[in-house]
Amino acid sequence: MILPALAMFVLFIIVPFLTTVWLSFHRWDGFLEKTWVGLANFRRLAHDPTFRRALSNNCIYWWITLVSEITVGLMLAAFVVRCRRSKPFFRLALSVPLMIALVASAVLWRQLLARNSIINHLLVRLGVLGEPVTWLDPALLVVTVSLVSGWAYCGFYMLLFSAALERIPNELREAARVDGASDWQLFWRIELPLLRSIGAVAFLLCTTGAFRAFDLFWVMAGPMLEPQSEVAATYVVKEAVTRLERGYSAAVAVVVVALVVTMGYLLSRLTSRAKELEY
Amino acid sequence: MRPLRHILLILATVVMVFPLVWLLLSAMRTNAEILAEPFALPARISLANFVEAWRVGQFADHFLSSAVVSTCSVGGLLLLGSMAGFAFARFRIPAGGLLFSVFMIALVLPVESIVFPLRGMTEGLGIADRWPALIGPYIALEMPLAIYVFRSFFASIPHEMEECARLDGCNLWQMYWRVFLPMAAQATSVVGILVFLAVWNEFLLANFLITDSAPEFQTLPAAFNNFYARHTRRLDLIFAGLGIYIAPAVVVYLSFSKAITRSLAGAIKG
Repeated sequence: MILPALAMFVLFIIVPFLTTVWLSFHRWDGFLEKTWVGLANFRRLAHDPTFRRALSNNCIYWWITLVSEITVGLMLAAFVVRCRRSKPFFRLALSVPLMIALVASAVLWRQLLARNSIINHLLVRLGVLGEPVTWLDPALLVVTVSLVSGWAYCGFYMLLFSAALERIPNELREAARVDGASDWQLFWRIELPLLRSIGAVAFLLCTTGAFRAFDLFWVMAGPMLEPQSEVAATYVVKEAVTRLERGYSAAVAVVVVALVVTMGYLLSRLTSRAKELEY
Repeated sequence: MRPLRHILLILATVVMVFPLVWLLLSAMRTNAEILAEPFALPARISLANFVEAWRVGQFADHFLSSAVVSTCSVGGLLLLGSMAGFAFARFRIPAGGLLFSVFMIALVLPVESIVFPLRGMTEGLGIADRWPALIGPYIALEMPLAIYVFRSFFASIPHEMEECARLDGCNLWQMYWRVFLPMAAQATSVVGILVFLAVWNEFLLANFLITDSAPEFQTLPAAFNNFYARHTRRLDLIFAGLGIYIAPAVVVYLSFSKAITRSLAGAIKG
């Protein structure tokens, strides 16, 4: 009964992936003969400043999204579950961006963030900024995309955490109240520790997601994505499509997969341990 | 604490919803008006932009493509995924643990590592730039999620159920089809909703497996990106197009929000 699923999986995931691994030992422009070059692609990779830049951009994106997605989501969840009548409304309103495809979000925010745009107008008028910022400038793009990503995903983490918060038995809160705990203490001392296991899951999702990011970068920067603001996924695609370095692109992809799968594995060990600790 | 909480929540709601409101208002203005003053109320209520964007962007084709691809992917996945999940949960499978971990690795697989070989394969199979070129990979790509959810659901069903079915003379297939699957309505809706959303919004594969050379078969994300690239300076068209693109998802979400919220929470709990 597993066979049909396995067949699809082998045909459309395993075979293409092994092809990529095999290609990573070749030089190929996608049309002519492939030439075997051994580990040359990987040696080149080790000294490729753009690749290093791309990975560090992924890291920046990761760190900012840990705040803009998970921390903001957690905060919103903590606020939302304390509301009574307005809870369903806020939960719905805050998660609306979840339904919007990243491609659409990217286009929408590209317009919102243009130099003479509404966001700049507002921020300047409110005195937050001295002068308009070129948000989509290559030097700033990674930060901008991370913030937009926060807009797109913090609703998801809000739903996740608020579901977890509602599973915490109310007796615990009441007991803490009786002992004279304030709202802050309740959150820090009681709720947050109990969110450990779902927090580990969120961390896993956010981390592996950060090293697979593609849509927002590709659409928000358009065809002019500069080497300076490249991330791993866009670099793989550009090497293959624009520069016709299929072998080198494959080598980059293989390294990225190794990285993400290792991280995912280590973090999933962490999550299962966190589960054991609960209650 | 309470007023502060409400103020912060209202502020957050404004940040979340404001871009969409602005989008709708802008979609009713002319290009010249938008360029002159990016933020203003429309002079009149007009759907002219939407009509033009619908025609220019050939949205009818792309909605059809997205609907076909998503429906086929979800359907195929529910069938194959529930079968595999059932087998993983109820039987001893040789090297089952290893097999299951291999499936799970794909949960975090970066898609860019398979997209170009897939392109070559679909060309070899003669399905390049057609719907099946996306349906196959989507089913494979979402398989881990489906197997994971179905396995944990089927594993939670008490053993007596299986024995009763066996006593009543069920064979393996009948047990799966008549006894276990009908109980799995919740798992089915979780997988169905999550996969539908993922597939409906998927961009990287969509962009390269059905390219611009067969625009009428492109799904919405890829088609919309091309539409945008082609009309970068026609802001009125872009906003109306965005509205058309986003509206069904928002409407579906507002009407099914309970089920969706539950499945998001349920998938993680599983």
